[in-house]
Amino acid sequence: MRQLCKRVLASFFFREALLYCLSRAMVGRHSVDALNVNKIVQIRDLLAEKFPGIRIAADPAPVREAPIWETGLATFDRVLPGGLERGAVTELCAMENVWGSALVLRQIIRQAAATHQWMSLVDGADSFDPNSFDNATLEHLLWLRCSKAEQAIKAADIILRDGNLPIVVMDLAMNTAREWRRIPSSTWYRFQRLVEDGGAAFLAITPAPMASSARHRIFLRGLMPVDAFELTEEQLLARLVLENAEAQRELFQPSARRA
Amino acid sequence: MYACVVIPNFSLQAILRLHEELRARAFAVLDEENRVLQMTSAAREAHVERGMTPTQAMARCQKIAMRARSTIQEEAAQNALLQCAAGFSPFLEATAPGVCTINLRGLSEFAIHAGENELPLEMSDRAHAWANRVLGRIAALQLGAQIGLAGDPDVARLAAQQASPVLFVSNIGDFLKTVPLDAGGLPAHLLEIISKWGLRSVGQLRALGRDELASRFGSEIVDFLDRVAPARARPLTWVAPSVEFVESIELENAFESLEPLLFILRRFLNQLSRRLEGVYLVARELQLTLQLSSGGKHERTLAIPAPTRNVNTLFRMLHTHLENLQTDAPIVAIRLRAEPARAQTHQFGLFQASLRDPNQFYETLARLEGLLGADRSGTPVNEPSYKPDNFHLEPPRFHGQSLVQSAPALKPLIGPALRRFRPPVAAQVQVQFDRPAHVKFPGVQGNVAMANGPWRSSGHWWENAWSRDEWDIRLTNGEAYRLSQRAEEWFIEGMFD
Repeated sequence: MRQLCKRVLASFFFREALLYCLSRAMVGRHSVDALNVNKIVQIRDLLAEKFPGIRIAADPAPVREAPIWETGLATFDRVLPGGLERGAVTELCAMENVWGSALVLRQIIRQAAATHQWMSLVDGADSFDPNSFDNATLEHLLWLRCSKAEQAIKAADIILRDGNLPIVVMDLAMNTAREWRRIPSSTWYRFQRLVEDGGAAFLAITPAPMASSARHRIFLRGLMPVDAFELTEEQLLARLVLENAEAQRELFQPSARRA
Repeated sequence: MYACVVIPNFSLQAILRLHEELRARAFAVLDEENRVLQMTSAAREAHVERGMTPTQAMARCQKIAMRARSTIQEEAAQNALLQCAAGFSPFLEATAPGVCTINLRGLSEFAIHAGENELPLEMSDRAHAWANRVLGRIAALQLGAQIGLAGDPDVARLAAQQASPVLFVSNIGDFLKTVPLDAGGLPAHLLEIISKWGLRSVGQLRALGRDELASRFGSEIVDFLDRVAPARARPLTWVAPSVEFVESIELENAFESLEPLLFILRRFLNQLSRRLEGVYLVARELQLTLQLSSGGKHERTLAIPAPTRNVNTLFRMLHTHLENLQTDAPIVAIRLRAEPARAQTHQFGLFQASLRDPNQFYETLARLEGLLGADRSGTPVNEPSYKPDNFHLEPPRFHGQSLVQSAPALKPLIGPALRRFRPPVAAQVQVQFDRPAHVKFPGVQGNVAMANGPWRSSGHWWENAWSRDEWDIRLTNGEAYRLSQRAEEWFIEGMFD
């Protein structure tokens, strides 16, 4: 709350200063004299002194090293910068007639348990199958059983706002198109702000590209292998086909690729 | 040594504790015969008197607000009073509505030598200090009280009625000389006669002698004297304070929106929190009941992952639940019950995987419970059974013993992962050569290209027996499902992904 007040105050002061400067400039270019410029500089110095945390537009954006959480899934980590990026939204698109999203989710849950990380699964259609795991693996999982996408969005908002859990996965793969089309794009920007503040690694499994604020977007490709029921998990993981968003763009722009 | 706590104008205060905004206004409570029973000081200043009809009261004070006496709110106030008193002594008597008598034996402040008839005067300061502590607790419940302390429970009650707000009686004889006759509830016809004799106080009446008064007035005067000035202290009828922490209200105007409902619930929570605080307990569950004008009812039990009595936490939980709620009809009555529990204390280990802010996380869990409902959030734990989809949810544990009682049985990791349909979807299946050949269910229809199974399982033969055959099928379009057959009916249990 305090941070919010600070930000509101800071933005208010900055806007006022800017408006003052612009109004003077409209009266006459030469009327913005050195004295006024000095005043603005003083205001900015004062703001920087009072609220050292805030960023003033002219300042360069601080370069932050993005910590990575390795999922342990080689094919997945390869298309990402080494794993799920903390403080960023990652989207995994499991479009129609492709397979593997549940397999990726299963692997992420296993890896979280192996690294003693608490993880939250926001299950948009209550489709998670805990019988596929042993109880020891599930010990570090907070499972939120939602009945529709709207509820899942609210639950994800609450859990990201809390900021306690380092890994949050929202699974909307089984939700109907009618449900996920109602999700406003502003939701994803809100999630982006929340994970930036909380530092969680946030993965959204979606049936179509929709997370407008996603820093990384991965597409699942291909049909399930014919002999899938005979293969072990390791063999199945090896057959997963994943492409990142850049690869997707290249796919649709072959001329650009050739150039 | 006894203390008597009296809530003056009890019916009025029972209503005002949930309607603070009425305290400063002219307000009156009506009895069963629709006559003014008790009123606020503003109403009294406007010359509204007891026994008036609402029309008469409004003739004296046009802006007076009136409400019928509420027995459920009086009951809640009485419970709150007893629970508060139980925080000071276990020896309680619910003497009358709004009156509680406490036996102070065993309390260090009131230790007296055996055989002493009079209470030492130096005890007065200690008694006042103790009584002020009690008053402070009761004031937190939005109730104004008066306390009398004496060597006899009935005299203590008389003292409480005379107190402002605390009265310590050292010598009972001297005190009774100051108690007016009408204070003790002397019948009106006797009061009229005795007043004509020039007697004004109970002490003066008592000085005439019990036998002489009995021969003149009969048993009525004996009952009166026994009540206000007994020869020896009567034993208290002990009661255990109720373990029910309930607040309820019947609304005069039905609620149709969320804001007024939240306003009332916030006050309920304030009251419940203070009542729980008085007995050093916390709430582990909230039960909300909304009575609808259509005769229907909305009931919801909200389990609190980390038991607490923090009003903001509990309120956010209720708020999260209610903002997603739509009722068929307006709300006419509200009831909120808190299930008490002892506060949990734990210390996190140095190397345990802990949270940044555990308290906030528990609050978040409570909000999620409010959003998703009971048994919809938590850590899944598989039941020790072969029955498919058999599990339960437990609150996440960040400390203490592991949920896993024994070494986990490793399951074979063969085949793709399953996404379950809850509940399973009914399907029409054509069987050829004892194997599924064609499947049809909402949205999907196709020939079966491959079918693994049947995987037969059954259990619980002694009670609620279950039995099923499962097939893992793959359709010609490449989609794979888990199919089950139960008593000749087919279901799609989930989809492989």
